[in-house]
Amino acid sequence: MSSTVAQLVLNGLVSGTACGALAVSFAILYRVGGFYQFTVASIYAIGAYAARPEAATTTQLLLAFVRGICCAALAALVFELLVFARFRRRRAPPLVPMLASIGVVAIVENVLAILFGPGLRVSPLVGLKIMSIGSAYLTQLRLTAMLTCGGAAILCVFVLQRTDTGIVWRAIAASPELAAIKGIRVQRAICFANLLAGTLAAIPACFAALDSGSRPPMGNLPLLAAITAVLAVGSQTPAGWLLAGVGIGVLQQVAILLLTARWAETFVFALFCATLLFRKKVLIDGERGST
Amino acid sequence: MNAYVLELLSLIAIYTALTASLNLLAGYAGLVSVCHAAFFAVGAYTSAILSTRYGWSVGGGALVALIAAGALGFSVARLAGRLRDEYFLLVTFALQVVTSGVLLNWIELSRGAMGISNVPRLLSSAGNSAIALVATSGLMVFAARYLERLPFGHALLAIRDDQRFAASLGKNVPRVKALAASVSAGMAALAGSLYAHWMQFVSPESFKVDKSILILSMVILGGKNTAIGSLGGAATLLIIPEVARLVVGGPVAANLQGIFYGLVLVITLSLRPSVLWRARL
Repeated sequence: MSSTVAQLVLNGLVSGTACGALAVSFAILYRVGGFYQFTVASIYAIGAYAARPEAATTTQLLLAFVRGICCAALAALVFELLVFARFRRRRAPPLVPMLASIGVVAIVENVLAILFGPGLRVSPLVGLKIMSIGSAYLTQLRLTAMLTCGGAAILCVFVLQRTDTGIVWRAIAASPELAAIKGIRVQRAICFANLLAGTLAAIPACFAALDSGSRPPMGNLPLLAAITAVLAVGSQTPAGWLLAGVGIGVLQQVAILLLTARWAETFVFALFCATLLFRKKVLIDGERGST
Repeated sequence: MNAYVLELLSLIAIYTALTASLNLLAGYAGLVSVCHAAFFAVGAYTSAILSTRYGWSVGGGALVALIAAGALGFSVARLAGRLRDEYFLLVTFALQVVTSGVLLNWIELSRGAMGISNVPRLLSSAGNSAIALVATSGLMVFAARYLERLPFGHALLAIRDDQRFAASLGKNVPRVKALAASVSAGMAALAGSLYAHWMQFVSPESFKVDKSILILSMVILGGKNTAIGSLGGAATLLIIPEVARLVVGGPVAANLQGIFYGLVLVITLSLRPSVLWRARL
């Protein structure tokens, strides 16, 4: 029993770090852009499909990762410039671009299904060497995924908290109008945030494509887990997004002890619903602009 | 009349009723939801289970479905109605996925992915069933429209335009919103009940989140607070993809439908960002 728990916790740490990275990516877009972007799910899927390597050689893998990251970052930028910048210019309420982002997700999901087929596309087998950590086991690929996702997310949190770019983003999050008055080029800063968030979202996506294959709606469930993480800790605590993501990943895995695996998805959404209702007070008052 | 045309007309009637019911929630109460397919599913499954396992009549099943979904809608609005717009949308999104998960995984109740077949037809012949279905849907649309003329409708419009002002006039805002959600969910369940008895088969595949997005797209395309808009939105979003399916054919057609629904959302919102809200842009 204890070895099962250890294995589930380890699996949870791997999926949780990926969830944490996605949560940081999502939260950057939310704070800087000012609305919930479901397109993070599309960026994730685009990254995963673009990162599919032709062969399992190290060069091919690296090229595939670079391709996945570039495509995802570019997709984030294109969505911003083609769709969301227009809403921002017209000062639409946050619900409008949020609904439009649902439309974008539907478009991307179906375009991917037409281009690559609706089924699962598996990648060449890589990183299958197994390592033991106590009574639990981990493949080399998953260990690399955990370290890379965690490292990239920490780097982004650092950018947000300790650099001039982060200060600019926080100024825009507090008040885009005041930021513009102070000479900040708001649209350019938002585009840069999209590039960074797209890059960060692509990293767990590339590993997910290698580990378990790609499907057009593959970004939806990780995104909802990421939103749950951000909502659980609030939008003001960058390090908390990563930690909450890890916590959700572990909780999701440990829940398998109580529920069967087929209920896992439903469990995440029920948890999400409960989080939203539990944090009602904060959400009613609103978080954005309170810095 | 050709069976295909009859089926398309019936689907348009069902989706027009669904659009009118979501319009009541989004257009009047200002609560934009993406879980309408969940209420639709509650109606369809309640009717299907009661009629196939317990031999209930169509009317009895529809009544229970209406009450069950109405209670669910009331609870959701009471619990989440005070959240900011985008958080309410997120709650409804999660609720939609939880409902789909329950339908797919609670096999003892719903028979999972296999669905429930042999649901009794609405009336003995397909033609009469279609007429009854179109008539019931039409009644639902006009009932929703008629609500605007009642004090309840005025209260809803006042709340949508300015909640604080409505509250200052003595309107119990959370209660009125919850009642609107209850009526809207009940109507969606009634449409679900009609759907189950028309198709004679229900499965989780028919009530996934993409259906909720489709219904919302119909509302956005048709515009708020209009019966003709509900019909226009539903007919456009059902007929154009059908034409595309006939032209293109094959499995790609379903994906083209999805792309079309997504484009409708993005383009309509880009051109008319205030379509679901009062003109405050």
